[in-house]
Amino acid sequence: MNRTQKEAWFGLGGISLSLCIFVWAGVKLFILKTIPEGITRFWPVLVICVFMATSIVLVRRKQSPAEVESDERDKLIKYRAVVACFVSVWVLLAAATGIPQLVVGVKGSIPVWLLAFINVGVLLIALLVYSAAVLIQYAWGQKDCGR
Amino acid sequence: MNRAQKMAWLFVVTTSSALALSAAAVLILYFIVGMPKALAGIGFIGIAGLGGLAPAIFKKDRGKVDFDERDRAIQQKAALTGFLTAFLFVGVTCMLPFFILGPHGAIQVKWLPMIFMGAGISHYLVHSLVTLEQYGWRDKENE
Repeated sequence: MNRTQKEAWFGLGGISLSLCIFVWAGVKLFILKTIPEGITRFWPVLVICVFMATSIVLVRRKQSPAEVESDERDKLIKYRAVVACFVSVWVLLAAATGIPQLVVGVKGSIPVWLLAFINVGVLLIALLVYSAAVLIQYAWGQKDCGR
Repeated sequence: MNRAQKMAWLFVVTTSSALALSAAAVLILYFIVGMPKALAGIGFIGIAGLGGLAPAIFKKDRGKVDFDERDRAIQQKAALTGFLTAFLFVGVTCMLPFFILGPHGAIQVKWLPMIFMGAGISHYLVHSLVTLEQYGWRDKENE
């Protein structure tokens, strides 16, 4: 497994975790309208910090000399993943700005915290798409090599 | 001046004129008819859409190679910068109402497509400006 794959795996794990915590916090704060008290309100931050620290240590660890650091194929995979990420952002943004009009009507209103959710949600999903696109392309490559 | 530079110039000219005309129209209409109606001046933003005709106006020359590795690198850098600018725009416009109106405020959904439109315009404008900057604005050696 080369560095790009490791980064994509940790990206996928970290962003999935962040998305879960993000949705949990949103439901708790804005739908159930309960504010966590005591030490429990800090655990999502703690989990993300531990995950980020572990990711940085593992990704920065020196690559084995037996493995290729990065070649033309890796560059192409990253390029395609970035394009997929760009496209997903535009599609998500179009949906996020258009769907509320269908739900609440043209003259309707939405709470402002939903905008912050749209912003962070689109960012997290775009990063998830990038990591998934990298891993899917490597999986396709291995399948082709096996044939 | 190569095809990418000509297209970038058209984007910059159309988008800048659209933004300037819209701002002027909103300002003038504000003093004449007041605020909700003055927003009709935003309609001038439609001029920016003329930039989308650039690929049809500046057609590819079939006889010669007009796109190499350097052009690809320039386009990639311009696209990335444009995308980051658009995302920054979205981030700021999504967070500003939260800080101005407070967490319990509400915003009309008719404003949401403006965020998408603003992100698109900022993306194309910055993409074109970075393209021109990297080619050297008026450099004729890129033909």
